[in-house]
Amino acid sequence: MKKTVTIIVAAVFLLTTMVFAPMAMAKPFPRSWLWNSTALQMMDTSKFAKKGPYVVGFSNASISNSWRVFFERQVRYGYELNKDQIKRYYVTDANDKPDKQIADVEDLLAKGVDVLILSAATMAALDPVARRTMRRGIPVICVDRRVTSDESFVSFITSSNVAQGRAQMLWLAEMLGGRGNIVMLGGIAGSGPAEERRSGGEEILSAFPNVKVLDFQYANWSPAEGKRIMKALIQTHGRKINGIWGDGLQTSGAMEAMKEAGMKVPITGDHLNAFLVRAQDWGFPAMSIDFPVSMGTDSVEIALKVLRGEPVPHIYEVPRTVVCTQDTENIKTDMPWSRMAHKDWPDEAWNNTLPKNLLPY
Amino acid sequence: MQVAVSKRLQRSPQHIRSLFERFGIYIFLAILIVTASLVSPNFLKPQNLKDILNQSAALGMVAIGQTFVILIGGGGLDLSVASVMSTVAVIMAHNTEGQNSLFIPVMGVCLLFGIIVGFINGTLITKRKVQPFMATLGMMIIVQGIRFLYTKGMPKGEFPPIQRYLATGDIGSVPTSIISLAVMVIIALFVLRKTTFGRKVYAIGGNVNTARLCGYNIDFTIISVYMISGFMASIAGLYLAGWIGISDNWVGKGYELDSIAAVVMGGTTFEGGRGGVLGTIVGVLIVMMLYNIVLLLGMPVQMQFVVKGVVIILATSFYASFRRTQT
Amino acid sequence: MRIGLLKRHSAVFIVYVILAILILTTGLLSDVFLTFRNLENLLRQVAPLGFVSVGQTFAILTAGIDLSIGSVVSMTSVLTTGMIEGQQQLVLPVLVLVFGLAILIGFINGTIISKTGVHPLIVTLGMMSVVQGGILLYTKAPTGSVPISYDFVAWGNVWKIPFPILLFASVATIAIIFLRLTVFGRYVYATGGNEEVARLSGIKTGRVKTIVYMICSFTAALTGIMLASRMGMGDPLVGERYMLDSIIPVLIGGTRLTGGVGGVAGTIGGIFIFIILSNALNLLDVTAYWQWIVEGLVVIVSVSLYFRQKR
Repeated sequence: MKKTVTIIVAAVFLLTTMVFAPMAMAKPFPRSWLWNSTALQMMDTSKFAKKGPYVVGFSNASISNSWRVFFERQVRYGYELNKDQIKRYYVTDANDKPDKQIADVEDLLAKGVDVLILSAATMAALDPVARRTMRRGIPVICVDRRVTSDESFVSFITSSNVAQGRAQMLWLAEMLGGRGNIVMLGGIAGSGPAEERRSGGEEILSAFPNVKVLDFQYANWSPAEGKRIMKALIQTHGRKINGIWGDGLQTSGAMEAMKEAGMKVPITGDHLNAFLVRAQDWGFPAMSIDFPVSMGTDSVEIALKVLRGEPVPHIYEVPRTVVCTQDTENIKTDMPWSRMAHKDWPDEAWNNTLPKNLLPY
Repeated sequence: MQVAVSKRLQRSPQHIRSLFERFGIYIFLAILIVTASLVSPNFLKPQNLKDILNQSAALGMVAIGQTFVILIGGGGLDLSVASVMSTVAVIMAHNTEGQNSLFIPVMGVCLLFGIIVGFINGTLITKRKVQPFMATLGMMIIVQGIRFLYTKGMPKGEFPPIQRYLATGDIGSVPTSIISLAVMVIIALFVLRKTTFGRKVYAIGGNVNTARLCGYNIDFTIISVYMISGFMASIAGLYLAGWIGISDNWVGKGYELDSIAAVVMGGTTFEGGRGGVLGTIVGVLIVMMLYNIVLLLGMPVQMQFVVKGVVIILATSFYASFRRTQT
Repeated sequence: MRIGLLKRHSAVFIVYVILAILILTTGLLSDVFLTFRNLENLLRQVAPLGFVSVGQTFAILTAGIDLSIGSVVSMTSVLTTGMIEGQQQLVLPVLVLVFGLAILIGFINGTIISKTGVHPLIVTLGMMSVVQGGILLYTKAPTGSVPISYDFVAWGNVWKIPFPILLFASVATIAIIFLRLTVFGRYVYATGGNEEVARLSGIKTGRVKTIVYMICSFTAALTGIMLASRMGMGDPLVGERYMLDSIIPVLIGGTRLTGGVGGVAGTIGGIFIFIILSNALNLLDVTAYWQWIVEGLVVIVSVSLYFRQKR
């Protein structure tokens, strides 16, 4: 009797693993590859092949805002998932100072890492040190922000900022039926991602001659600035404003200013929980596209592939989700808005793939 | 050109000069308001003026504290205010979770926190002879570290509705935040002008040695002044956080330099002993109006930077030159 | 006489004692710290911060401060790379132009400060804003490139010594000689010590201040050029951190904000403390948030150590 039970249990277990294992293995396919105009540039990594277990070093730019906090946890999650192959895992934090990060990388090399995962504080500053790391035979994996030259890294795990700006603007323009006045709220003047998203947005505008930009202002990715600036713009343009293009934290502040003025217009943002929840609660037509924190975990997976000598794409676009309260012709929501907006999460939480014990709250 | 103006004034009667010295900042404010309303028809809209006032509240409160600190002289200034503002904001959101009933007790904790930071600042400056710039800069960095350790970089919670009302609501058509600011200005004016404590502040700022000879307790006064600054910073932090409504790690960012600029534009000098709260409030209004008008005009960000810089320099040098001729 | 000398330099003395203790403890706690590669890396980091801090020392000695240097650093870094665009023959003319522009900014700072009597903190704060606006007019994203030969400034070696550290050593030496052995140096100390007395004794304090702010901008331009070479690209936000970071080593080094006391020798010690501290915290695996707390404590403690003796 005991024996049969054991056999049945074992059989069931075997069956479930056979059925579910491939499902667990199947990673979400990076959708953005589909529209890549050229063949993926695969990197031959055989020269980096090594026997494990490995020492992995992660040089982080900073954990001074909530996106970066989640992102750092995701990298750690990547390490915990692969503990069997990684014997040591080192993290450094540059406090947003490129100078310090150059030193950080040197420190990690001094500790004898087999692979360097690098989230660069600025793309130019870290380029020389990344290039020299590669020359020493240690593969560099860039994540979130890259370094300038192509030969300074093996693989770059990211989501396109330009694509983000385009998607947000396309949805907004289509929501307005190709006619109307909008204001644009950007990030920090002079920072790379802010300019890329802006240029993406403006590219789309060229196809919509009747969508007029009333004003473009930088809101420093700060909800306070977003609210202050939007208040002034409401005074200048009033009910002429038909839509708001924004690429980050500032839009949650801007939305509040609009609500206080009793105006409800389409607005774009990213997967900051405060933005998602408020748009839903206050009934703003909204669209959100994320710059996924999960790329942190992907970077560890890619790093291990490189160390095993498997080919990896030079540029690895992580899959991203789009949600909108209302579909337009070309931008459709991937899931209902309510599934992305979590009322029980803190305001500054980001959509993530972390297990409970790694969540920062 | 400034020199030419002051030369001419040197020959003019004494009282005109002192009039300028005294009211230079008000004249400048008037010029700014007239210019603003000429270049942008939207500037004088009641709602816009209300927005400016509402946004001035938090900066005004920090600047009141900053005025005390700068008045005391000896290079006094408080760079830790912005850090304190952000920290009390996350403490509030974290602990109340948006419940009105917890607002008062948690507010007590927040105010205490500000006072303690001020106490440490003041003690370092008086007992250990650390220069105010260094002491408050060090505290700024430490408090920032404490805040991130506390939140793990991820602020949570919500602000209680009562706090949001205090920061964004109206009584009649007057914003509540402005009423609060007015009350604080009156208290500060009273303290500085009518109490012995205020006299001590001016005396120490004017000349430490004379004040010491008068038997004033210098260290105690200086420590108190920094405690006032910490206290005002935490109130301002709560108002600002209530106005934004999102608990963010960097709520008060930039307020340390903005508040110092406002105080100095308002006529309080780093040498200490001269100036006061009313000038500071005018300085605050100038700063906030400036931030507003560049947006109303839809200026690109580059021009905003240039205009802000030029106006700060102009406003301060506008009457500094009159003041100089007097000494 | 000897005692008097020691007393006068007691602040500098303490700075170097702190530095020695810091090096010793880090060396004991971390086996990586004293390796050749780590030390070379440290030395390369010294130069960019070093230049601005030396310049800042001059400003602070006259009881002033220069907050605009951060934006001057960004400006020079962006302008050099943006105008050179990898063309070898443009290196010299562009460098001349950039230095000229930086010195002009210093001249304007100094003139406004000495003519109007507005506190330098406010004037340079305003100037910072103006210059930052100018940079963003020129470019809003990292831009430009430099010819390969230009790499030498940041990455080259002369007799196995990193070139940046040689350049920094010579700049620091010139600054020390300038302050200690020339008439101008005496004027700087006199202006900072007591401006009224200095003016009455015939020193043109206004001119001294103007020159001091020109020196300050000049050193900021050096830093900007060094960073341009180090990164091979100009970044409009690269200088932001130098606004406050440049002041900390000066004050750790015993120069007082009230002016007239201190000098470049102390500043150099301060720079090394600042940079070694960050390196040490890294090597010892201290997490980012704790690093802030330690940094703040060191700022306060080191300064409180010697000022207590003063009174």
